[in-house]
Amino acid sequence: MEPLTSPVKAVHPEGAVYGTVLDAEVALRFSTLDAEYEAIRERAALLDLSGERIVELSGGAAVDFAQKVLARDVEYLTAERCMTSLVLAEDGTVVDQVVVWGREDSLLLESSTGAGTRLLEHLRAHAEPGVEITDRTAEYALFGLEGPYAWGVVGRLIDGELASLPFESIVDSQWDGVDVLFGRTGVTGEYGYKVLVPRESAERLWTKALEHAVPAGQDAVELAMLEVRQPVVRHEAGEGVDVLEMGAGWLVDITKDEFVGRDAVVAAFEGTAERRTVGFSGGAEVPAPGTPVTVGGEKIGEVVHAVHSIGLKSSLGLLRLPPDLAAAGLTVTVGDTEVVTLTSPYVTPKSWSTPII
Amino acid sequence: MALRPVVITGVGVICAVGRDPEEFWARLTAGAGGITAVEDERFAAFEARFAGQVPDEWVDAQLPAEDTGLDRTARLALVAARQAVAHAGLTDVPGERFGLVLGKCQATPTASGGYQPMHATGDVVAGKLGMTGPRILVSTACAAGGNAVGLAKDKILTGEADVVLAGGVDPLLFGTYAGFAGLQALSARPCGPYSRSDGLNLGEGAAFLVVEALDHALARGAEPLAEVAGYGLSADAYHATAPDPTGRGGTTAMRRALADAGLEPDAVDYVNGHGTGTPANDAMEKKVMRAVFGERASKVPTSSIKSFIGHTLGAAGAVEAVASVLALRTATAPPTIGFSDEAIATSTLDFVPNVARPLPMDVVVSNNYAFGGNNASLVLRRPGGPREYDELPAAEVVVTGLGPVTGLGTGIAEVAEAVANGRTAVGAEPSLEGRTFAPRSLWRHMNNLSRMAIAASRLAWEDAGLKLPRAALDNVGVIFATAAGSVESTDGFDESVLANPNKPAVLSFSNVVLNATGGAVCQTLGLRGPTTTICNGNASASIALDCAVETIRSGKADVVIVVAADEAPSSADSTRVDPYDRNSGEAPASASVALVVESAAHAAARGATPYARVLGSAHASGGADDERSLVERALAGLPTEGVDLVVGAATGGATDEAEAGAVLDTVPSARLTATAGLTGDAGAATGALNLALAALALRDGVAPAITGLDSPRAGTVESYVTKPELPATPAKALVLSAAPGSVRGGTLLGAV
Repeated sequence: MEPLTSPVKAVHPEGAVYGTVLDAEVALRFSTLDAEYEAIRERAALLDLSGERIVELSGGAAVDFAQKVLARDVEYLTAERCMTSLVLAEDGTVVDQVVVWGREDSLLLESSTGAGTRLLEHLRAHAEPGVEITDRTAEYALFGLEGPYAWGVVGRLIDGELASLPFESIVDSQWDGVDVLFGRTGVTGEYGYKVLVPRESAERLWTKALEHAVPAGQDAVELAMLEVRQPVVRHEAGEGVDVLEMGAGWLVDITKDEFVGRDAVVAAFEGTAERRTVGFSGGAEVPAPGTPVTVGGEKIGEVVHAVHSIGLKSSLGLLRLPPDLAAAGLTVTVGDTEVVTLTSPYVTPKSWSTPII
Repeated sequence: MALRPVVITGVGVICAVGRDPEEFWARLTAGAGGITAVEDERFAAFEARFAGQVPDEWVDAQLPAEDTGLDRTARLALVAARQAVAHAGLTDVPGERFGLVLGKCQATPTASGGYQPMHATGDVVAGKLGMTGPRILVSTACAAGGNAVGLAKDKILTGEADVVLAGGVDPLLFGTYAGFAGLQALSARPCGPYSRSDGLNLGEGAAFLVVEALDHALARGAEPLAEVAGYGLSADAYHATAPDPTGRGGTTAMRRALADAGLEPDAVDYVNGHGTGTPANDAMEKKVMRAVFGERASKVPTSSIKSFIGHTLGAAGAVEAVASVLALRTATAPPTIGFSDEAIATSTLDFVPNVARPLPMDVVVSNNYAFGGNNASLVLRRPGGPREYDELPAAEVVVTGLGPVTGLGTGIAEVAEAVANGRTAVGAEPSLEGRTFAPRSLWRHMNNLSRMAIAASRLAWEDAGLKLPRAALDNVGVIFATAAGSVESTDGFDESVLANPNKPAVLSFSNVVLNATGGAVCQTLGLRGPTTTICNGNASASIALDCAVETIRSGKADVVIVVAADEAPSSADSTRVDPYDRNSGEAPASASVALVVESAAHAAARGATPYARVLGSAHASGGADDERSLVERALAGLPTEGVDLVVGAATGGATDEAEAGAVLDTVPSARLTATAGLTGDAGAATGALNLALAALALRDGVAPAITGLDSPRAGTVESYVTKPELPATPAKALVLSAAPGSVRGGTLLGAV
């Protein structure tokens, strides 16, 4: 499958820096990380989510199929709700984390950045009669808005009534005479929205949105996600790591009788976990994944993933530690640096104290 | 189509700012609030201690000596009810043409620590005032009072009554106070709706309005005060206690009310808002105003009289309807008090801050929003002169889906099989194992009553084969019927308050309101049509079916789910129940039963095969006569010729005799049975099961049998259904309902 590229690349701001994330070429930065981060945390940022595939499940057996391949319960997901779920392999490892959009006669799965090809292959491998699995990515563009004043942009751009939609609600709406699918979502802890727009209108909407919001690339978004402990699957799901060790138990529902990977998840819930994930901050150097974590010279775990947090003005990342040590407030050594384990969110979003008016 | 004009001819009110309408209006227009510190020492437990209280002497000074021993709820209600009747100059309305619709949020506690039946207050008021016409207890929490006025109008339009007294009542109760404190919804000072919005104050009171047809009022020389131009109900389908933040539910209710009144938003001169003072409510209401009025929103004066009297819960809508009538009459908008200069300067809408305003007005809207996501809007206008009108259309209504959740089985297939084989399961708990009926994230937090009702509704929906697009679901109605609501949540909440009033079980509290389960059904199935909750004991389901039929006849919905649910107050034993038998026991049971009710045209258009047609109904309410006369009065309102099967309201007790005696004399051609022998007495759900199994009998020729009947209280064994197989499939079935001593009714179903 061809790598995904943005359908609005031609109208991205000049100087955008691109990179490859799995099967997608995405904008890592449009301007500077600091400016884009500031837009997410203080104002309103515009996201080009073209690295995410849109896969439609339709046909009479679509809901049963979705129940089988998704780790959360979507039996009663209506055409006005969306939710986030993991997609697991039989062995319980993570294939992808998807947003499921309820539709009248189908479901749309939105992959995580760059993971769409893998998701599609997994779905097709489990395909059953009565289900059509259709890649709709080429028909749409998906944009996001995140920030404490993102609701204001929604008002200026589309319709103020949509701004106060309850979390994970979606609405069929119109923008400038075009049918769009609008959702209240959010991954950075700030007010968050998404718009799924037909591809032929994508440039127009992107250009119009740029008048009201600052474009932010993948780097700023992933940083802001980490600061509120929103999983970024490709950084966190390693070889042989189960969902409990990832700390993603909230994205599975073992009360559901059957789904691919359930047995492994149940075994993990029932077993004695060897590792848990906990956040940390400290030091100026960003440690590489796999850097040993020590206490008194003894290795107790390793770094999963780390970045420089603009909000904390220090390194911020995730550690995988023995369960009894995966608690907040402990001082441990990462490489040569002393760091402190944290409780999430690591940064308090401004949106939590900013009302929609 | 212009329907018969319905007007208000009298009002009565008692609340924290007045013992009667004159004092009430004088205080409102003077801007003099009535919220004070609660003196009762028990309330010292709470940080927030302000409330809108009614002094005892205001109540007792207006009551005859014989009434002073009644409970506070009944006394408050009687004061306001008598004022309204006197104001209207009603003297000689025949009892059976005089109805009562009472809104009430809280069950009235008894001295022994239990609760009166929800409808008891209505029975007291009706008894004292001599009303034996339609009697409805509506319990849509904080929207009940406004809802009551709308239902009263319906009873005039159907021709069941000439005059209906509509109103609401609720006293200040400690438990409720603890619940609101636990939700952190109370302001620690006199509340500031639309300005500080830092919480509400609870209040207490009662208000009533005399509702009658314009021509009736003019014929008796009464002066119409205002016309009940329309009303609108809606469900948020969003959350148990929080309003939908987009204001969608409130917006829909107001738009429906205006459509019912045949008016455009531009016609509205003044809005009497819900204005509780909580941040969630006030923010939502501003959105409703902007959505309905658009650019004009800031030019439509809106005020909250809760700033004077607190939130009087089930009375609030009625008190505010009285204020709206007086606003129209005196061309004055009452203010919202509690505004600081700064709040006035920064206010984005016109909340009539602090000072009453002369305002000529023709059309007033009164809005109420409640727990359970129930919204009610009432449109009042200056009364017009006598005019031509059309009768309410006689749209044909059918039953297309059945969803029983009983000890006998879950779903109509299981229950039909049990009926056909004469199985019984008295007092058995319904099983909900084996499948989920709601998203697990919601299901986990639901009490048993809501789970049963959701399962019943979904099963009925599936049985009806309904598949509707999202937009159509917004117009599907839900009428919930329950005698007592959730016993589990009520007990759990009461115990928590007893243990520590500062740590109430808030999740249970949100389920104590009777309409919580109806709201949960709307939320789970995503239904946002007209919704209300009826609490008339075991007669609730037949009254709810009437509401559903009226909703369809008046074009407000094509599809309505009637869902009834009740829980056994104690665990049942294996008592044998043989209705109408002298030796029968009685046994409580838990169950929920839902019926999909649909306009015949809608059902035909989608190719559905109905179980039965709804041919008609009649209800009578208790007066000075005995139980048998009450049954006879109900039956007198129905054409019973050709009825082959009667499914009665009998539950195995002594009042079965009155029912059997009256039925065997009035409908000698029919054979009599009842479903309580199969499941036990499941309150409102038994009423709905009677309707469901009668509908099934009309289609399949199989009826619930009283297999152990050998010494009937009336007639001979041959008069009863003792074997499930009927000799012939019946053409017409009569279904009886009963809240003994209070309301009895009959619903006539016909084969398709």
